[in-house]
Amino acid sequence: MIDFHLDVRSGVSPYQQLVQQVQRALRLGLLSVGDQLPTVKEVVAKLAINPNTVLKAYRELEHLGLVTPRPGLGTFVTHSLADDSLAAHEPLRRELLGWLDKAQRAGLDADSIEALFLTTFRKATEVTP
Amino acid sequence: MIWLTWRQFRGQAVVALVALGALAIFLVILGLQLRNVYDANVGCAGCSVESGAQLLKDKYFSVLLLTGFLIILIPAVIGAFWGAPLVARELEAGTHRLVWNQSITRTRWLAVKLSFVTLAALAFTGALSLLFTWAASPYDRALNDRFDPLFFPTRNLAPLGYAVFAVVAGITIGLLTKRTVIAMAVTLAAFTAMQILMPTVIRPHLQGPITENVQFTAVAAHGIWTNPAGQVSVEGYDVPGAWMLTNEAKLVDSTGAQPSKAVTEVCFTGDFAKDKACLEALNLHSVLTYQPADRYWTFQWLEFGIYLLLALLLAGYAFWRIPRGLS
Amino acid sequence: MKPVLRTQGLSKSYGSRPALIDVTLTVPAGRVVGLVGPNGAGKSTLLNLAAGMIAPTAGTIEVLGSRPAADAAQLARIGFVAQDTPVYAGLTVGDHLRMGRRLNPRWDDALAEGRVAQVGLDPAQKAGRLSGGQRAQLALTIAAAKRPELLIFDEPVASLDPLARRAFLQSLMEFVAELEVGVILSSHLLSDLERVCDHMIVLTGSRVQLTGDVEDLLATHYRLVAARGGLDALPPGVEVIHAEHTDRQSTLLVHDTVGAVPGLAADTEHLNLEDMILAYLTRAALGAVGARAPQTLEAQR
Repeated sequence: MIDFHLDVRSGVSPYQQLVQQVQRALRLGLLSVGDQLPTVKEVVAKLAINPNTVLKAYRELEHLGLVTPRPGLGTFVTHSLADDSLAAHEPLRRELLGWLDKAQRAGLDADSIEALFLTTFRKATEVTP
Repeated sequence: MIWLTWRQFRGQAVVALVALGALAIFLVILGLQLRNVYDANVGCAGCSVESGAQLLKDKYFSVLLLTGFLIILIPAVIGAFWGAPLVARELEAGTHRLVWNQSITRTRWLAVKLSFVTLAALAFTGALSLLFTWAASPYDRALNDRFDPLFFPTRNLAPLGYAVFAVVAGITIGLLTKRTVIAMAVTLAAFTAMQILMPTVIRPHLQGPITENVQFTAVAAHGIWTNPAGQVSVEGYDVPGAWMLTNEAKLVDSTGAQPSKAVTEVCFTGDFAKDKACLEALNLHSVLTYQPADRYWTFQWLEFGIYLLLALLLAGYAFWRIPRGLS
Repeated sequence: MKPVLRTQGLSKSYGSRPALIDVTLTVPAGRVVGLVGPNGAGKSTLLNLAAGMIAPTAGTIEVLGSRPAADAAQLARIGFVAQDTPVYAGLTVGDHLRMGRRLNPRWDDALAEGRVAQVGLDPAQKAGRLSGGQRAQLALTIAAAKRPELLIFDEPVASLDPLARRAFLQSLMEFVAELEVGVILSSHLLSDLERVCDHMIVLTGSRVQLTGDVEDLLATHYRLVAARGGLDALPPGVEVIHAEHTDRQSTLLVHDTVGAVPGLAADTEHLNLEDMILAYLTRAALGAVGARAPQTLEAQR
């Protein structure tokens, strides 16, 4: 079972953080099909967050087709992200390295690169709230 | 709610029971002693009732007076230590905000607390009053003094009225002051004020007193004295068992005026018997006002009723106030 | 479902001093409501009105559709824990549970006993000797075991250390998950509440500054950064909460009720909850200074 954590100051809404943590665990193979997610009460008791936040995150994961709630039993993983995405990691990383190299050659220092990346990243991810 | 009231009250109840036990032992011993002395000096065959009564008075007046004070003091103490903190301590500690948010209305909360402690006060004071009335009854029978303001409030029903009043006044004052110590002080002050007002201002007028003209006779007068203006007062004009409202029986003539010095001066020679005869010849009388002995129980009930009514008014105010929020 | 709290023109004065002025708001059911504002803003007054501890000077208040503290049944529906979590110092933890059992018809004994055991309270311990955190847990247990439909807490964590604070909020959220109970809790610190609340009421100077579901609030508040003068004409429905200007640039915090903001400025981003509430508090503080405040802002240009 995975353990959630929360960074209130991160700027990412709490429910998204939970969704992302499940997705990351699925990608890294920490969670696989058939595994159970912690119950709402367990998450709430650990993180001291609103149960609605957890419910919303689980609904989102369900909507993404990653988990299925079984009434009376809990929420279970029905789809894994590990195989396909793990394979995609390496080429993507190489592309990113190439891009970084390009940015450095264009004269951007580390801070500028980070700022550019983050603003672009945020804008791109904000499209789907 | 009764459980909670009892749980909060039980410490005080234990103290009260210990005090009641000690007082009861004292009163029983006092009552038995009085009975022995009564039987030996008043109730015996061939005894002089008058001298026996005088002996009882000499021996027991002080102790009965002081015990009587204690009997009045007890409702005051109950009002200050049971009544005043009952609500005030909750308001002071903020615990009313806990208990008022259980599934019980404030009215019911107050009703249970008030009834519980009032009944406890009634039981406690009632037991003491009963014991004291029993203990003092030989004395009262011999001296017929129980209507006297010093003794009237200490026996029979009157202490019960004081107890109810003191508790309810304590509770209501506590509700208003919200401070335990202040509520205790104000309760004691209110109780004392009532104890002074009642016999001086209110009780004498509960029923129209009887006024009687008594002819001065040498036989009836126990003592006579005069002031520098020559006005004469006389001692010994008591109505048995009555509450005398006339402190000093002044001698007046047929017009109702006090005779002048010129008239009375001649009668004061220093020979008591001769002086009395001389005064008798002047055809003087005195005007006595009093509440007769047969009104004793009427006055006991009235005293009890007035205090009960005051308690009801105060309780009514508290019950009107409490659901309305306190600030 | 009926709203948990509905007020209309609600005002409360203590003598001539107003504590709450003309509060009109509706809090929908099923929320964890945060009531935020500086000390003395009127938070306690509002919560005490909701619990029926005090009566309003003007206006109306309805909690779960009824007048607060109207009768025993209404009292049973609300669990109110007053500021500083009062308990009977001379009574034990066990006595408090017994009191709860005797005074509440819907009392859940299993919940109460289990909770006390779980947080490690000794039933024989006198409540007066509990720590602040333990006292808060006891008060929470009594309020929750009553099985109310709404829990109201007045500054429950203000006097607690960070550990007890977290423990209290964890317990509270467990109850919310388990009992499906609505919650209103107040704090003068947003950080106490932002993890747990999905509805906010911001109160300053006896008036409501902002109220709404957190999600809606986050979705409708933006920070716009543009060249100086580029934002002078805003479309209707876009309200400026806070504005700062330098020689070159204007930064506006706006509330967009009509969806007109996206695309308005080159640099548009959503606000986080803290910045948003701070903007409202700043605006209220400036407003309180009086009519001179806008001129001061003007002079900074």
